[in-house]
Parts: sequence; structure tokens; C-alpha cells
Amino acid sequence: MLKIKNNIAISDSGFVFDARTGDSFTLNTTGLEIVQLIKEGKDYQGVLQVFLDKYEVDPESFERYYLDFVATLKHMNLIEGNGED
Amino acid sequence: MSKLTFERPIIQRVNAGLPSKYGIPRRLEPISHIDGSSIRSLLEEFGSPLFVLSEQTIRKTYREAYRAFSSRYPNVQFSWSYKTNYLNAVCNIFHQEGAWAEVVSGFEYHKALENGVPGELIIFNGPDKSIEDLKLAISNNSLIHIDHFDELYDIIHLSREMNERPKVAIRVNMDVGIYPIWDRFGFNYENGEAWDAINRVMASKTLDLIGLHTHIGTYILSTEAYRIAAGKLASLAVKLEKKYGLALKYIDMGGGFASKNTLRGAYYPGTDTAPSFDDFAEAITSGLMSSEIKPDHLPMLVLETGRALIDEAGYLAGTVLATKRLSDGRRATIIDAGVNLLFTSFWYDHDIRPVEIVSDQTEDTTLYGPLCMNIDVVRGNLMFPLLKKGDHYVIRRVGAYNNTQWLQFITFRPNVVMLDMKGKPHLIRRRESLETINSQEEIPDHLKNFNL
Amino acid sequence: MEKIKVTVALSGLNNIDSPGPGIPVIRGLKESRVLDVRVVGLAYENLEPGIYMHDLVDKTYKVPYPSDGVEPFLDRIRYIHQVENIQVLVPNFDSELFTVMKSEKVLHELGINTFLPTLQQFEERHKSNLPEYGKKYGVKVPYSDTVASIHDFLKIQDQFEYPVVVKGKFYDAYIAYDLEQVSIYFHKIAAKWGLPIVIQEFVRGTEVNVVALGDGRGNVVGAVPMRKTYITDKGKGWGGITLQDQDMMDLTQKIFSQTHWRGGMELELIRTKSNELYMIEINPRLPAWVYLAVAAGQNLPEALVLLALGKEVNPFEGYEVGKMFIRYSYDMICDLKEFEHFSTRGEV
Repeated sequence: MLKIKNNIAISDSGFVFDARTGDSFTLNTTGLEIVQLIKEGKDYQGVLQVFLDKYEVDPESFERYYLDFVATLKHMNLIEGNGED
Repeated sequence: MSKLTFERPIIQRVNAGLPSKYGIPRRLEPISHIDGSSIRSLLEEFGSPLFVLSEQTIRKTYREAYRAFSSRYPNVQFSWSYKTNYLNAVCNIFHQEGAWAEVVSGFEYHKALENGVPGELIIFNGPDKSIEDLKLAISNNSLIHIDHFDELYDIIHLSREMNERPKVAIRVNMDVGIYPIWDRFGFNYENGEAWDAINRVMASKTLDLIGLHTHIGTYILSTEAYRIAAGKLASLAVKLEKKYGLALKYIDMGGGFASKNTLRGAYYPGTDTAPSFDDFAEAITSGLMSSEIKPDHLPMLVLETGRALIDEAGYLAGTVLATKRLSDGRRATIIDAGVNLLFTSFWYDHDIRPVEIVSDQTEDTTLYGPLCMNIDVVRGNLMFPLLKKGDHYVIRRVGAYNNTQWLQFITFRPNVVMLDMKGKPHLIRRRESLETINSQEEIPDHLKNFNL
Repeated sequence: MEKIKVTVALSGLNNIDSPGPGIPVIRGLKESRVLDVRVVGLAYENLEPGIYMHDLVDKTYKVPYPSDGVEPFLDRIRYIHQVENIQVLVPNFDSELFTVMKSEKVLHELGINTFLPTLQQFEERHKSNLPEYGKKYGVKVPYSDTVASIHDFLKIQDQFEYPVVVKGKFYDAYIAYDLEQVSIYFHKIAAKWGLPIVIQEFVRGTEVNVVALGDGRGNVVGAVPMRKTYITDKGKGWGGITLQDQDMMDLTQKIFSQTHWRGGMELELIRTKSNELYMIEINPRLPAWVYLAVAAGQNLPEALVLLALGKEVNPFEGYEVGKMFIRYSYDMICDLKEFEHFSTRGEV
């Protein structure tokens, strides 16, 4: 299961603050939505369903961009856990 | 209920340290249409990538340039610089507008003749004219601009052999306060070589000296340099008239006017720094008018500007092949046109836009071409919208030099279309095919077969 | 007397170890006895201190870099103007001036006043044009030349004696003692500010400066000479003191009366051992130490805004000699919420 790290504060504007490192980040709307869904404990299938209902996107493309995004979050040390890997 | 447009999710580090290059992220306005024609449908019809040229823009730019000069000077003649873009459809627009042809090789010379330009309205420039080229140019009464003494002697020799009076001009190079000085073309002004060449032409008695020519450089932002150049050519003309009583037919100021493209390494964008045609015209004509040339003997002013007349009219549209992350987290976007098609990306930071409407979000992106080569970088580090595979892009101001310097490499050079005055597309150069490439090749008999 | 209410937008809020002139200019404006100024800050970076100095800056907006071009700049200004109704715009960075001058006509149509040099005045005082400038106006300047590559420099190397000063188009200057150092500084500056690079003869002596304001008709509205009493490793004044020096004042007068300079200016001069004044640079705006002039009796920022508004301004008479400034740093405590707001919405 993916988990947003403990010391990460996320505001509704998409501003992310990592209290452990002092770094800040910004998310775009879709990025923020995914992070919030992960925070709520949704797994990939759950996130996918929300996006398929709401956006003009096919599952294949979504998976590609989702995995790329999650990899970036990992690269930035914001999430832990090995999710679907 | 209709669904929302999906945008790639992204996260970006907030810059909280050293100043970045970007300030507030700048929204890149998409360009969906050229002259009312949808880029997306053009790509569907003619394939991707695709060069698109706008007849409207070419004519508008030409008329603007012509107006700038002709409203300040009584006798102005443009001559289309073939090397800048010698697609026949492009050349013919300029010829329809009244421009002569300016060529720098036998190939270009024949191209102009085949386009129907009368020989006496072709200016033949450059250091590479074969004896055959010269003979043809002489018998056609073309305007031969002499580049060096070897050529001067060849022409004198030919004039006697052919019993003709070749029409010639002397190309002059000079210091006009800019760097670099283009002293490899023509005869130098400051050290007296140009004056020597003039005297040599006059002494031959078999050549008609009808003009003086200079071409001070390329992508010149300083109008002052042109004023100085015009002044120096004018002073030679005055000296010539004093000594020989000869009034020149024309002074050719060449080209080199900057377009609105931004040079790599420049701080301000070219759209802010490139002088207008009016600025160039003001400098050149005032340089001539304030000289000692007698007002009733003002020679025709010839201009060979290429880049500034055609750059704006050219677009390169295409498709995003992939986006990926580099090892440091930066974004790489791979597009289907590389540096082999867009030679100018080596010295310009091209203005690249999305075709479809995208959100305000941008990220630090490098745009790579599709070639399997590390040098294939179309634009480094720019803040670019979040394009996805299959999205389209369009690169502005690619009309100059790309259709003449492009290289065929690993695939075919694409279609080129021209949008006519109503925005209707016409194919003006077909995409190459395997046949095009193979038709130039010969295989020796012993290499024709193999067994694997 | 009722104060004139005016909204002034200005940049240069980077009040850091190598400070921009924004905050000192604002201090002058806020202390004005004739103006009641609302200050709208224009910032490029999320951490420019001025953004968070609410006693001096009423509201700050993020703006695009001048290198993006005139159009993005004007788009942003139009937006800010809609909200704030800017009456006067004071660009405080050299790199902004070209863009603002190019936009001047549009700005005036919007009702935004400026008080800037003309493009011609601006261009001719460029570092790369200094030798011609010196000749034209009869001012002593060090020998200099412009290069676009190290190869260029090799060709003209013989004209110089080491050390030489390597200078960028807008900012940065380093003293180089050999070819290797020239090469290092050349690349360092070129990467940041582009080409060309100016190589200047190094004139030995004491650096002295004048801050001045011209009315555009050849008159000096105010001028205060100063010597930096201590210079940081970044070449910035840590402390300074106003001088009484007729030669410096005469030189200032000479330049202004000939060039008809319009707006603020900082003259960088070197006084040699033999007491000659060399002009090494003209900065086309008020400098970061302008508040010293305010304290010495010449509120030049106030005068500049009044001139921009089209008011008559009487030239200042005199200033206090021996007035000192000492620069200090101060750790301001800021709210993460504000940082968040500025970095995500571009205003605070």
C-alpha cells in the first residue's frame, strides 16, 4: 500500500511541505487529487475508478501517467510503501 | 455530464533557493490555426511532422519591407536570396511581388532560370562560380558580383574570349563596428583593396561596372552598422564618379537583417530586440542620402534580405512521441522533428507552442528530436506545458534556411505545404520516399546479392 | 498640507547581501512629506525579503523575467493595474529597463507613469560603449573592449595589462590577474547574462560614487557623492559616507547637461592617486545606497515619483556632508502560509 509520509503537510491549494527536509512543492489539480486519494487510503484501482468517472481518460494512459507520477513522488521522498509493485 | 479534460499529474519543487530563470511561469498561448487552417487537420491530411508556409505572411512581410524602403528612397529593388529558401513556390511569390533572384551557385542560378527569371535580373554572388557558370551568366547578361581577384581575372579573360561585355559589381567587405567582420567575402574597403579592384575593372575596358555590393554579416541587430556600410559604399561611388565620370546603376546592401527569432545566449527575446524594416531602411537610406552622391545620380538601392522576409512565414508542426523523466527528475519530451529538419535550433531558442489548449501548468522540459543522437536537442530547459503522447506542437519562425539546409537522416524529409491567400493548403514539396533516396544509388554487380 | 495619494509599483525587493534598490527607494517614499504612497511590490523570486516586509510593501505580485519579453511583462502589468490602479512604475533593475522603455507607450496609455532615460541615452552608456561615450562627452574612462569569446580576447590581449576587469552586460565584474582567470570569469558571466563581455583596463584608486537624478532637460535635480568605507567580497558597500567634492559634482553636472539624462543614475568613479576621476560605469537607475541621500537631505525617490507624475520639482540645494550608512542584516521571521501563498498564487 502506498502511503504519504508522516511529516508531509498538504494544503488545498496543492502546496506540499515536507517538515523533515524543509522542502516545499506544488501539485497541479490532478496531482493533488491523486495525492488526496492515496491519503484517504485508496489503492490504484480506487484512484483509477475516480479518474475514469471524472475525466476524459482511458485506463491505459492513466496507468502510465499515474506510475510516472508516483515514481516522481518517490524520487522526491514523499511516499513510502511498495504499492502495487 | 461531460467529463473533464485530463491533465498529466505533476509535482514540482518550489524554488526556495537561488534565483531561477523563470519568475512567474509564463503561459504559452497555444497556436491551433495558421491563416485559419487547423494545424491538427493539416497534420492528419499531410502527415507529421509538416512544414507549413504562409503565403499571406510572405506577401505581407515583403510589402512591409518594400514600403519601408521605397517610402524613403526613390529607386528600390529587392532580390530574393535563394539560399534562404529555394522552394520554387516560395521563390515565385517573391518574383510575383517584383523581386529579382539572388543566387550563389550554379544550381541556384539554374533554379532561378527555370522559375522563369530573366537572366539579366539574376544577381550571381558568392565565391563559387565555375567557368561554365560564368560563361552562362555572361551570355545571359546576368549581374555578376565579383568576390576575389582570381574571379575578376577569369571574367576579364572570358570577356575577351567571348567578345562580350559582362555586367559586374564589386563585392566589398568593411569594418562597420560589429563582430565578426565578414572579411572572407569580397574586397576589403579599409585597406584599399576594393578601390584597387574597381580600378582593375575600369582598366580592363571590357567589363561594365554597374554596381557595388556589400553584405556585412548575418542576424545583425545594429542598424547603425548599415548606416556606416551605406556611407562607405557611397564614398566609393563618389570616388568612382570623380575619377571615371561613371555613375553606378546600383548599390546592393545585401541582407543580414535579424528576424524575430531569439539567438541562443541572448538575454532579451528577438521579438523585443530585432529592429523593424523601418529602422533598417532609415539607417541605410540616410547613409546614402547624406553621402556626396549627387541627388540626380542616386543609384538604385538593391536589397537581398532573406531571413527577415521569410522566417516568420514558416512553421514546423508535429506530434509528441513520448514524455519521460530524466535521471535528475527533469522532464524530457520527445517530438517527431529533430535537428536534421530544424537546423536553426542550433543557434535559436525557437518559439515552440502547443497546438491544443492546455492548462496553465508548465514544467521544466527539454525537447528532444527523434534521432538516435545525443545532439538532437530542439530546445533545452524551457518551461513547457504538460503535453502527452499524441499531442501536437508547432514551432514558429522556421521559414529561413531550414528548407535549404535540412538533412535526410534515418527517415524521409517531410511534406511541405503552403497555405494560399485563403488559407487553403497546397503541397509544394512531396515527402521523400524510399524510392527517392534509392534512385540516386548504384549497386555494383558483385554487391547485388547475398545469402543470409 | 494634504499629502498626494499615489500608488507606486516597483521592483528590486531583494534586500539581501547584494541588495536591490527597491527597499531603500520605498523607505524614501514612505518618509515623504508630500506623498502618501501605497507600495505595490514586483518580485521575481519567492524569497525576496521585501515580499514579507509588510510595513514597507503593501502588496507584492510575482512578475515574469524581462528575458521573457515585452508581451508577457505587459500582460502581467495589465492584470496588476486592474487591481491596483498603478500611477507610477519604478523599475529598479538594469535588466528591466529595456523592457519597460519598450513598453512605455502602452504603459502611458494605461495611465501608468514612468520617469526613465530615453532608449538612446540608455544604449549609449552601455559598458560596451564606454570608450565612445567618454570621447563624446569629454569624460575620462578606462580603456575597454568588447569580446564575444575567449578567442576574441586573445586577439586583443596585447592592448591590456593585467589585472583587467571582466564585466557582464548588466551586472557582475571581476578582477582577473591572468588569462586563466579571464576565461573563468568570462564563462561565469556569459552563462548568467549572455554576451558580449566587456574587458576593461583596471584603474587603480579609490572607488567613489554619485547618486543623481536628472529632469531630462539637462538639469540635475539632486546629486550626492559618496565613498564606500567598506566593501564586501561581493563588491557591495557595507558602509559609506557622503563627501564634499566639487570635482565629482562638476563631472555630474557636465554629464547631465550634455546628455539630458532623464531619471535616476549612479555614477561609478575611480579617483586615482594623481587625483584624476575616471568614470568606470553609469548605472541607469537609483542605487541600493540611495537612502543615504535621503538621510542627507535629498529625497531622490520622492522627487523621481513627483517628476513621473508631471509635477515641477525644485532642485535640491545641498546635503549633509559626513552622513554615514552602515548596512546590517536582520533575520525576519516569516509565515510559511505567506510563502505558500506567494509561491502558488503569485501574490501576497
